[in-house]
Amino acid sequence: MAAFHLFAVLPLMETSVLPGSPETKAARLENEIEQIYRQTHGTICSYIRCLGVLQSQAQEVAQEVYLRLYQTMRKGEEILNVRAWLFRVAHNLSLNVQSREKRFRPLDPDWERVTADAGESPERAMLDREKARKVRSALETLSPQQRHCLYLRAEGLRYREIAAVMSISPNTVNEFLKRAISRLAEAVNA
Amino acid sequence: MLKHSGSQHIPDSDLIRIADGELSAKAVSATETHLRSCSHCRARLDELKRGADSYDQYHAQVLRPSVELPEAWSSVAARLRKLDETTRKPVFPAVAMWWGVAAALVCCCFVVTWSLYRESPTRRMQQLLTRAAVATTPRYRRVKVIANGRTWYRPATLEGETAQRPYTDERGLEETRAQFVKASYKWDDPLSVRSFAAWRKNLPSRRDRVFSFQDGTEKGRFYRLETETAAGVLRMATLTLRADTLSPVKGAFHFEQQNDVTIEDAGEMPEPPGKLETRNRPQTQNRPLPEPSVVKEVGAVEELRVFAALNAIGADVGESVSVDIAPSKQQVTVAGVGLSPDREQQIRQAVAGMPNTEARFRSGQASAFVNRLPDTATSANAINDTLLRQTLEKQAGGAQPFQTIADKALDASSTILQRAHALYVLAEKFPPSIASHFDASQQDVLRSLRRRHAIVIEQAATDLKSSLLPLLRGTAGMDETQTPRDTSWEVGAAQLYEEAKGLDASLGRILGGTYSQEAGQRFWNKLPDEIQRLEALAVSQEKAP
Repeated sequence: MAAFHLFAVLPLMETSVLPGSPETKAARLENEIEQIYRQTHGTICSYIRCLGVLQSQAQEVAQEVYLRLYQTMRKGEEILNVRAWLFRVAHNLSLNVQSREKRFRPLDPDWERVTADAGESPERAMLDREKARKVRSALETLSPQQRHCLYLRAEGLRYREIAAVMSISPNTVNEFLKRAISRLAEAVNA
Repeated sequence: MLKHSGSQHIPDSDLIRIADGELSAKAVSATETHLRSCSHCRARLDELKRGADSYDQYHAQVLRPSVELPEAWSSVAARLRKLDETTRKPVFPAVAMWWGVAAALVCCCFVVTWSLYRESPTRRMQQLLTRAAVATTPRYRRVKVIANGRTWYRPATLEGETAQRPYTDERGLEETRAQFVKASYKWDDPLSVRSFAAWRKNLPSRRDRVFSFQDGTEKGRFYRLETETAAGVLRMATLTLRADTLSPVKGAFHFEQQNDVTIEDAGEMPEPPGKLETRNRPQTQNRPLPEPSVVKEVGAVEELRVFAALNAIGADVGESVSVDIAPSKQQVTVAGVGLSPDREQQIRQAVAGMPNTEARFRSGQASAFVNRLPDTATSANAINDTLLRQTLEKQAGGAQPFQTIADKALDASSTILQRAHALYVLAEKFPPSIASHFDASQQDVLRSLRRRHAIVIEQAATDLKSSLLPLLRGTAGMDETQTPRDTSWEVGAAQLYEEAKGLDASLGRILGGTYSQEAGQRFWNKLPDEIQRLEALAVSQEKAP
């Protein structure tokens, strides 16, 4: 059950107050943000997209996430777990975007499109088409929260971190994952 | 959940946690023993692993690449710089140049005056320390000490013999204790404003810094007081205080030889038994002295502490855990049925250090709240082929979208029912006749527990409404505002629980398909009103004093 661990360094990273003149401080802070951006941009953008934010808006939402990180760190506020913080802010901003648009989406249309595209591009995936189709079908039967838990788990987040991102308890994360993985198991083992 | 022994099998949720490395080492050892002897569980674990692996592979090779966006650091950097410029250089309109110059002069005067009289970090820290020294803090606390890669729990304050020598649980901390003693930092009360202030006051030279910040995961603001010195073995001490209560929550200590010690607040505890003599010093002159001996008879206060400890780990909701006072009134009993060993351990740790509190667990079927979660894989499929179902599916846009909506609605309803039950238990345990004997901090704890449940219920009711929106279009009553009658919170909690049960039953029948056409239509018609009433009751609970 290998999970992505893109943030091998980030869990150890804590934001800090930087000494020096305001200009030096701003420059060092910008460097720090750039490092974090380069390590996390891909995964944060993908998460925003998978939350149903349109491609045209996802880049904007992602930029807002890093601007907020910059503002928070500039104020000298301490962020103990940067990756969980980024996911949480991305999660909240994405939900705000959806809420502002007042569109109700029983199934995220982007998700559907993405999974459909993926299935139609066999050269892109090393997965067997049939297996991908089964996984995609199983995913369509899951609730958005179950899919989000799966997504964050695959990005290497611990249950406690997923719970913080989604504002639910670790037990609920376990319950969502149980139901999601059981359904995936049914699909692929059938 | 089941104990993993004999012919009983490990539940899927535990198998998934095993595969994800989310079980404690002790729990893993117990389950491994079972797995070695149970081919059924081994086979199931493999199935689940294949299911999870298939998603991970799909995630990495199909999903992620298809939604990735190109990097755009240059535009982020530009926005960061612009943000800096706007905050640093306000632009005055050209037509108001002279007014701008005048305003700038006034500002300069103001800045000069302000800089002459502004608070220096040292002065600000002194003010905060003075205020914090007289602030009310919980009477009995535990702290978590992290040093040399190990963690210990101990009472926040040691007095009598234990202040002079380590007691049994603390032997591993001897080296850390020696460092504190050498640094003239009070080891008997390390996470306190007074100890920090006393150490700081005796430093020949120091550099103070004060930060105010908002925690990224918890709601609330904090102050971080940081004092650095070149003298002594303790080179830097940091004390974090809650901004609202000024009570210390974390201390970080950096010693000369690069070893760091962290001490965190680990929650309240009742007064421990006699010989240990551990209690917190009263913070104000008027505060009554704590009772000198072991608690002879337990009551609502002890029970409330246990609820607060369980709430901190989320074990007061949806778990088959009950809290009661034993008939002898000598003990608070935390009883759990069918919990995983890992969860049992968490609960034991949560109530550890609370004398006269006992945790008892037994295997077997979990209570209604654990197993009540509907099996949505089959619930929507089991629905009768009725006219109502056809209508709902049509409104949802097909059978598949309808099943997704049913999943979400049942999830939300489950959350509501669990929280409403937890609130109802609080109302039964701590009605005004009992809560009126609580002191201010205990009443705050109770209020905070109630509000947390009410907020979650309100959010879940909103989610439920949103999820059902496509199906309820055209149904009357969804937009009506209903205000519950003015009642006390415990009466409201009982009403809320009844409403939650009614709503859950209605949803279960409609989305689970156990109804006749006529009855189904009746349940459906009253659903909007039920949701509305429940939402209004939750809002009323949240606002209740």
